[in-house]
Amino acid sequence: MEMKRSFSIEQQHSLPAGLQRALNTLPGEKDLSADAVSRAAQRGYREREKILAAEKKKEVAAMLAALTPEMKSAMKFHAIQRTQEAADGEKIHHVGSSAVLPDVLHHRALRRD
Amino acid sequence: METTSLLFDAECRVLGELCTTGGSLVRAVLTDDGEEKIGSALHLWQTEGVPFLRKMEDVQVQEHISVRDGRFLESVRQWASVMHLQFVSVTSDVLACWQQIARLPLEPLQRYSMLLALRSLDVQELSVWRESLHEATDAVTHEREKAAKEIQTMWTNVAKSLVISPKRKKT
Repeated sequence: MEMKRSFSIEQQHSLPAGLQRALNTLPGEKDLSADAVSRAAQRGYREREKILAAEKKKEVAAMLAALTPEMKSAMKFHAIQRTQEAADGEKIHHVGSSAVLPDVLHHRALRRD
Repeated sequence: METTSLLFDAECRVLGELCTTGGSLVRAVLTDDGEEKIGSALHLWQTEGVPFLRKMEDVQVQEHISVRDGRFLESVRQWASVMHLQFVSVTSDVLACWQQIARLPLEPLQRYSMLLALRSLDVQELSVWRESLHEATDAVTHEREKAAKEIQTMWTNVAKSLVISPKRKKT
């Protein structure tokens, strides 16, 4: 098996940055054959996807835990409006139902009246 | 006094920020989407001015308004309407909250909806929102940092699989 202690420019470009950084910090001789590096990179990418997918869910959960009910309601306001527009097949200029108004906007609308 | 206006496309993706004072342009910052969609228009504004339709009695006259003109903001507002873009001017307090919202894992439509809600809040409500948004961005940042460390550890483990053990070397 061909062993290389340093990377060629071509290899450096194909190596994931995280793997390259980790390799630079580890002592000892490494198997840097194209096959071994490719398998390691693929394994790393798969693992990274899993971590990022889990992180996305945790991020959303952490965000929602910090937001007030009014804020969550406001966040959905236009989404609800858009869904209704799509269902009706035309643009709704006025949202008449207080059920779709987030609390904060509803209070504000009442105060204005 | 400086005014900040945000531009959004029809899908509520933010295209950029325009800062104006007395109606004339101070600076413009575009996002990647903004660069793609209105980057060339912004370039034309700087060289030729913003196309602006002015009604004179029964006739409409087209002018080009310079970025240094006090009517710049008004002309961009009209241009945005013609281009079917959303143009939202915000106070500095709302802008501070918007900057927090922009860091949250939200869909463009959700961000835009929150911005519109923010604009209708009074000072006291805005303060409560600011506090909650701050907590939310902190929590999200914490999760991102945890994931970044996890990825770093994962790459170290993957890299270890490439280290040739002395035993393996002998064989």
